[in-house]
Amino acid sequence: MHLRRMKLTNWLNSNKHIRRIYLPMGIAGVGGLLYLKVWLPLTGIEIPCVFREITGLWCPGCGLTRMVLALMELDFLQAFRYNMLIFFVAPLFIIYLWLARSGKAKRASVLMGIMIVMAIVFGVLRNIPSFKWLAPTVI
Amino acid sequence: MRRNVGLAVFLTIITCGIYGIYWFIVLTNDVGRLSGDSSFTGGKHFLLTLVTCGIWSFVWSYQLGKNIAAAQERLGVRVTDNSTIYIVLNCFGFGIVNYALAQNEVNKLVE
Repeated sequence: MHLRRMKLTNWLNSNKHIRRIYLPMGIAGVGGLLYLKVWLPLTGIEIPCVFREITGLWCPGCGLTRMVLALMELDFLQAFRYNMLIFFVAPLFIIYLWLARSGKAKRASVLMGIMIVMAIVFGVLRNIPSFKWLAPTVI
Repeated sequence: MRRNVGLAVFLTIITCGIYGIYWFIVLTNDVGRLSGDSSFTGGKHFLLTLVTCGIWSFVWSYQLGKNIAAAQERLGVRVTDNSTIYIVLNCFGFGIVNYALAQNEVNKLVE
């Protein structure tokens, strides 16, 4: 048992990218899945959006939990209506990570600026009555 | 970069938090540069905080503490890992105290 643990520790230490990237991602994934599929159905207690609790307004991330739940049921249209920003930002974020890793720092920071502006504009618009369709909507 | 903590807090208050956004971004960039972690950037963490209703700020708080500790180790000064304190402060809505504490550490490192 002790030897096996030592082997695992050595393996994790020798694979830095596994320890630093994939392990936290895996833990977050399992934690997220337990939250969505075990905790929520059992208790119904959601992590609240502090911004919405205080101001009563939608923030750019509101609808994200419902979006993930809809995606897990492969209901893409409903997921899109809960939070459409992520559908545009997620591919851009992958491009950003690729640019940052390829050493194209300037292009990466321009893209990051565009994504931040998109998130802020989306957050403002979904609280304006004429753009109500941007707020989380059940279809 | 060295910044006056008191002035930064004052500017954050009088601009209703807008200076706080700028402070968050440049402080994160400074810490990332000092620790040598090129993936610890202000823009990325600000965006992720925005799209997760603020939940990402807990990850940021933890990474901030770890990166400051890495920077201290890199520069050969006494290491103080405050990541847990930053998370606890963030839980109680004292994000600005995190900025102030982290800026204080950065000021010591760039002296």
